[in-house]
Amino acid sequence: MTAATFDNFAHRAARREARLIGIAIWLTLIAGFGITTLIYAPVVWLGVLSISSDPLAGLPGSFTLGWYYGLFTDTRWLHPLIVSLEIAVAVSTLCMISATLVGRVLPRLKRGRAPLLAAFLLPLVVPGIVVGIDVFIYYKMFLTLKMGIWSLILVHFIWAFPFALIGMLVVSSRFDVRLLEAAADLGASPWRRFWDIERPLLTSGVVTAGMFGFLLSLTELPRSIFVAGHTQTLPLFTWAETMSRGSHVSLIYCLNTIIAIVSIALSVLSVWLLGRRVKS
Amino acid sequence: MANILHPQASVEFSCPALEAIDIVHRYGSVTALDHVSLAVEEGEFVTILGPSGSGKTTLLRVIGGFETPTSAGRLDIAGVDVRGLPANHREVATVFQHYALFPHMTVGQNVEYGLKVRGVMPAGRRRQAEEALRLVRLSDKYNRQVHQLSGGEKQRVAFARALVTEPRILLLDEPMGALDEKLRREMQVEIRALQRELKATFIQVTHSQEEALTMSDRIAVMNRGRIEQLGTPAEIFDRPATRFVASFMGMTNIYDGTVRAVDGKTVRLDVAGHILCGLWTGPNSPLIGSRAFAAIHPQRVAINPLPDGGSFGLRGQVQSAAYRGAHTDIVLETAIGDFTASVGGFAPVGGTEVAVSWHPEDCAIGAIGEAT
Repeated sequence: MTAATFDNFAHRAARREARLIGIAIWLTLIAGFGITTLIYAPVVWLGVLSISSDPLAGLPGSFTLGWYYGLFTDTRWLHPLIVSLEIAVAVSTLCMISATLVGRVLPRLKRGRAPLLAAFLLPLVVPGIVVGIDVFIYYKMFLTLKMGIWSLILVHFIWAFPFALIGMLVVSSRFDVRLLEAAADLGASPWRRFWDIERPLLTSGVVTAGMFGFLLSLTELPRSIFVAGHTQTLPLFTWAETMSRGSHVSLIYCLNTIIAIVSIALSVLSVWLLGRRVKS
Repeated sequence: MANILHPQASVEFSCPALEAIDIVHRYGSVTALDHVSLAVEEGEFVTILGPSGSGKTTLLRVIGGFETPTSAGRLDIAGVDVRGLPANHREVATVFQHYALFPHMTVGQNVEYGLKVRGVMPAGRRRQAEEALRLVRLSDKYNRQVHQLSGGEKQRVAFARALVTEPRILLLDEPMGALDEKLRREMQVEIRALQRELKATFIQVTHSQEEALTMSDRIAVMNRGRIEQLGTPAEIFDRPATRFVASFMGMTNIYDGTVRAVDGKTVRLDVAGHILCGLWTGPNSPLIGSRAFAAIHPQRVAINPLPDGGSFGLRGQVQSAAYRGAHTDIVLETAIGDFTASVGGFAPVGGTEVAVSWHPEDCAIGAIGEAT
């Protein structure tokens, strides 16, 4: 092969590769846009319907804020919301504490790290309904726990903990334990080492764990169904209302729109917090 | 409180800075420290030198309190028995190889941390931290973030942070490990000057013989969990007591033989029928007929055209020559085996027959087997 033909061959190959890269970029853009649409279109649609005069028709038209006013006159949702917030705060606190306790130690284990991590994360893949039934059978029937706010906190915690742990591990697995040795070397007691060095460097992980706990608890339904007893959470309330096909269904559109906006805002905030820490 | 520039001002001590006797440390079946003893005087700069896995870092960690030895006959720091005391209750401070600066604190906060945990008030902290930063020539970096610093600056901050607590001993764990060649040479001189200025006790760990030789008052050469030789840089470099120390100090020419004659320190060693003359490195004279090694630095060898053989010389044939810039390493084939000579100017062509010679005081002869 002469130098000229080889040159020609290389240039043809380079053009072909450039075309392929172009196609790959387009496919990525289409997929990204498509997935985003699939996820967010229904949320936006719900928002649009919540300001339509006849949302049950399924099509928007003659816009009104009437349903939002309705939320303030018909306040049956208020009590379930308060219950849900109480539970969410409790679950969030539990998640922060337990994710910190487990997450700061897990990356430092010399042995058994992988199986332990798997054990902690397994509830992620167990269907919610199964967890709900399991908890009901075990805690109510076997341990005779009274179903209500405590059982709800329990199942929500079981559900949220793996996410909280992952959020903490993103931060704690990058924590350089040699910094603790340096602090000890400079005279810091175990408590000061935790408070001055670990705590500030793990804060974003703790916050993320709390956010996951709060949000996942606030919107949890399948597990709650089995263990709620006579307690009604906001998801249980909206679910019951939606199923009943009553005249108040339209209020649900407003309520869910508000929940969606608040949840998204909190999620964006926690991801941003996490990203900021990871960068530095 | 003692001033950082005068660490001994308020203290009167007669006991050594460190007295470690019979330290043993095992990880499972691996013996990292095999009955190690080391005493370091106040104001001394001692380097623990050895290859990786020799136990040198373990020894430093035992002194620092990061590792609890399996057994210790004695472990005193400035006269205080520190066995069972964790790192935060020992009056030592470490400059880590990776610096371990706190990333969420400024340079000033890092330097002040040791004072903060000791309950020093902010104004006093600031004054002492600024003084320590001035000492390492970083006066203008007090408010900097750690990630804004270069590698050399980080190392200086690590120094200032450790020095400001006025430790009885400053431990240096491969302090130059992460620096480039040029900076490393500068820092060697600077650290040594700092240590002299402060009259402080420094214990350094390194695998670099050059660092050990340039910086130390004494060097402890470690191998397989033992200190093979403890001595001044000149003693270690010129009078290695063991084959290991000889080869670690760059003596590429090591030959085993039998002692034929002893005259004071001068020993005549029979190596494959050739008599090599050199100085005995051990404390006690060897017995005639005992096995010993002879070691010669390639830089201390002269090669000349035949027939000027020299009285302690050998005849060699040039095998190869490797150009190293400042000198050329010539490998010669001799009757006692391959022989390396580093020469400055004259580099004979391959195959040439030359005379190899050296002064007897440049040939170290030592016992084979147990370190003395």
